[in-house]
Amino acid sequence: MGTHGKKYAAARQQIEARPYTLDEAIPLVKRIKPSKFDETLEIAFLLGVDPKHADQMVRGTVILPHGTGKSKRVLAIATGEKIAEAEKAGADFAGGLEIVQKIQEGWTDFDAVVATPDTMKEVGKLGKILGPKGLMPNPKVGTVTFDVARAIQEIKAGKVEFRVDKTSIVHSVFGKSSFDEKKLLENARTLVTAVLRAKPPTAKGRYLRSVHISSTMGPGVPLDTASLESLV
Amino acid sequence: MIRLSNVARNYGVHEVLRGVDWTIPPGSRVGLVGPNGAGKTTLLRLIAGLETPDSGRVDIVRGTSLGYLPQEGARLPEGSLLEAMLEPFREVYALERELEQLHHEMATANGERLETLTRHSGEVQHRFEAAGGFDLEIRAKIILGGLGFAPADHARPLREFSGGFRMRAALGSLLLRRPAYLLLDEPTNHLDLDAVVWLEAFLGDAPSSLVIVSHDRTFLNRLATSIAEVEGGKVRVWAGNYDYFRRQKEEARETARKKAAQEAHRVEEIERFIERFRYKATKARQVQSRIKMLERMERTELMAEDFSWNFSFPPVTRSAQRVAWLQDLRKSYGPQRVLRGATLEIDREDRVALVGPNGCGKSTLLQILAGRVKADGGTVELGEKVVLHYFAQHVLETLTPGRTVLEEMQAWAPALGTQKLRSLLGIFQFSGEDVFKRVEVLSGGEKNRLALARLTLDPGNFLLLDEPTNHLDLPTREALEEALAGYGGTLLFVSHDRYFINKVATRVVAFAQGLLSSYRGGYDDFLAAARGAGEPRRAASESKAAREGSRVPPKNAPGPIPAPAVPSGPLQARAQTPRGTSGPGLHASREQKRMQAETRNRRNRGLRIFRERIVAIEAKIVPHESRLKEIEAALAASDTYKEPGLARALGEEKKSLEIDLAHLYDEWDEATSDLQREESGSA
Repeated sequence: MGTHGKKYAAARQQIEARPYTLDEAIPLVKRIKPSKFDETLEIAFLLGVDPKHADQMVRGTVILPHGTGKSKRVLAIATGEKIAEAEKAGADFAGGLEIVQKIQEGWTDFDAVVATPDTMKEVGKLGKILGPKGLMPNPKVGTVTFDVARAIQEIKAGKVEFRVDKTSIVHSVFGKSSFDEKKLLENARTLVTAVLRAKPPTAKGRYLRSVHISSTMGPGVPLDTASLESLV
Repeated sequence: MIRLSNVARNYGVHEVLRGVDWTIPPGSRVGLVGPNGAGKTTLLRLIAGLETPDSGRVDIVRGTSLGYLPQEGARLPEGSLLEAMLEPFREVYALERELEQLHHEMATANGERLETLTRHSGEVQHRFEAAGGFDLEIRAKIILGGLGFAPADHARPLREFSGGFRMRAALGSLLLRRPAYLLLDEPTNHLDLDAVVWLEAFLGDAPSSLVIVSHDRTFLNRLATSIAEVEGGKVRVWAGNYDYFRRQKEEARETARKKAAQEAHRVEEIERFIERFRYKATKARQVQSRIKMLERMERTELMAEDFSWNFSFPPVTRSAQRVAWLQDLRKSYGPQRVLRGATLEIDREDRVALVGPNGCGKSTLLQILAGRVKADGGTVELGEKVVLHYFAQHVLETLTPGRTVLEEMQAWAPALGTQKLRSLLGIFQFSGEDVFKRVEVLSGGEKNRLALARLTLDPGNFLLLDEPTNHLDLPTREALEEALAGYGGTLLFVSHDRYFINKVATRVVAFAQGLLSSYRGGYDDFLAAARGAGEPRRAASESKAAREGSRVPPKNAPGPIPAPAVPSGPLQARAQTPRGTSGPGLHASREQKRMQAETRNRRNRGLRIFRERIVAIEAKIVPHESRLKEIEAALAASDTYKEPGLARALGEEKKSLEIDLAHLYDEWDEATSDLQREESGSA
């Protein structure tokens, strides 16, 4: 196991052994960030769900009010006038079924895919390529729709998708360390609320086991789950 | 969680398991070991639910998935290799088909219908994704690649594959399913070295709990974190990997032996006391208490010695320095070229291991040397006075069906008498009626033992062994290792058992694209050197220069034989410090042992004073007692009373002796109590 550097250790020392509220934690994480660059702020929820059961999958999307601070390259696969609509809405790449061919040949230079339902017959064939990368469009998260313009704008505006992994953890970003505290707090609250609302009815016991926030290079700050639960 | 409680299982009159209590918690990585026929497979079958116990219970937490790989004859559905692998995921593929159907309908639907279809497809896609549907095929292909299948094999019908490769496919299918518990019965039997190494790494990262039956000690050392030993129908669990288990067991056996000896000594002391004072009224209570003490004493059972045996090869005649010289050997089977100019020189007393993937030509090379297969080109020269003997991979090929074990030996050495042959067969575990078994009914291990027995009649001075450890249990493998260590001739062998190669080989020759690369040392040295110099197989195929470099020149010539490997890199480190026996742990236990020894010595020094005191008192008691007996005898004799005053004098002496003895007994009693107190206090 790798060891941590001096800056990390120094940052670690500034975290007390107690859970923090969001209002306390965000300024702390910003203050103790060890590096010089504009670090991304991340949040991790350990949930009381068993992701092996399909009915306990936690998954959803949420539009962060102030975005993630990262620009996403969006690909739109559509037909007819929807292509122009997508381009107008800010899609980085837009095209018809020829794009499917291009992806099958190995091109995956984008961060999100939006498709119209009528193209899914062809886009469905890309499951083995896009699926493992988490890029497969899905109506459940709003990326298979005729309203491509809205879907693209939402992604560009900071729509994040969250999904529980096999260790029952949801990881997500909620901004950059350059954001001011108020924006970060609003983003974090929105995300926490979305995760709390996505609680599957079949989940047993305590839903929020533990929650931590951190910056890219910084140590995790534990959050008080009780104060988070009161957000809903 | 799996729990076996008081499980018993008999086959006819043969009691295999009796009162087995064994818990396998989630996350365990258990190596299941024990001699042939001890009940390892029975245990796995009981857990897998393929057999039911005669008494006791097998409890498995509800919802726990199990995957069982039998030793032989695993069943797979018909169809292509890839289809068979994916067959257990029928439900996932049903979802995929449903999704495709929905996507088709979505292409033409509109309005409310389209909305419904889109929503439904989202749900189905979500379930498909959650079941790992998107990367299932990719994972299947990775596993098949690791187990030695070429991409072209994926579409081939399963029935075209040999039994060994079908077993590999069955193993692959299990690995793909990722059950909570993987029960693997000899998973490495059908794998070549590359596949074993891959499987080790794969299982090392697998989320499943493992219960593995294996005779591959390196495999167990690298994977197992505990060893369950089946012995005498019971299961005993030991922490650590296989090597650590062996050491621990030896220590436990030694401790039990010492404890039993101490107890025997103590029993002897108590019995002596009882014997001495049995009829003495004043000591009656003490005697009674000691009798009870004897009854209550817990006796340590001695642990049975592990089954082991050994044999040796007879002395051999000395051959010339150069034993064999293969030059530019070429051999093809149809379109498949297995040897493309293999060159190799073997010197006297070399112990050369041939390694490489299945089908690369290792056996062919041995067969060409043995004169059983003709090479397409190149030359094979054997040195002066070289007497070559060949041990085939499929031993049955060399045994004559219809013959008994004894007849097989007699056919090989007609000059030797039956008695001599039977005693030799006895060494190889064929005793009594076993020698009259027909060779075709022998088990794989027995056939190999018979072939080894036959080999010891006249091994020649150049032995060619093709997978000699196949089907052999661990004690027999160890016996073979020992015997080969004492063999005076030259050895060329093929083996997939890394432990065996490390123990026996002084040189490893690796096959790559029909060419040979030679490395000095055992398998670990070969691995380290191969890693240091880049993958030898690739090196051989990539360039002409590399190809020339990979040919093996005469051993004494300067040049390309890589220098003895310096162990380096993580793989090497892992090979040298198996799980559970890490460096610091060893140091800690050594330090601990030193401290324990010091404490023991200090205690023994303290106890010695007490023991010496007892001995000194006993030394006084003995002459007193014998004199007392003499006086008692004299007083009983009528002559004593003829001499005036003698009886009186004797009577007085007796009285004084009795008083002294009473004091001495008290003293002895006190001293033994002190010793006991001291012993129990310091224990």
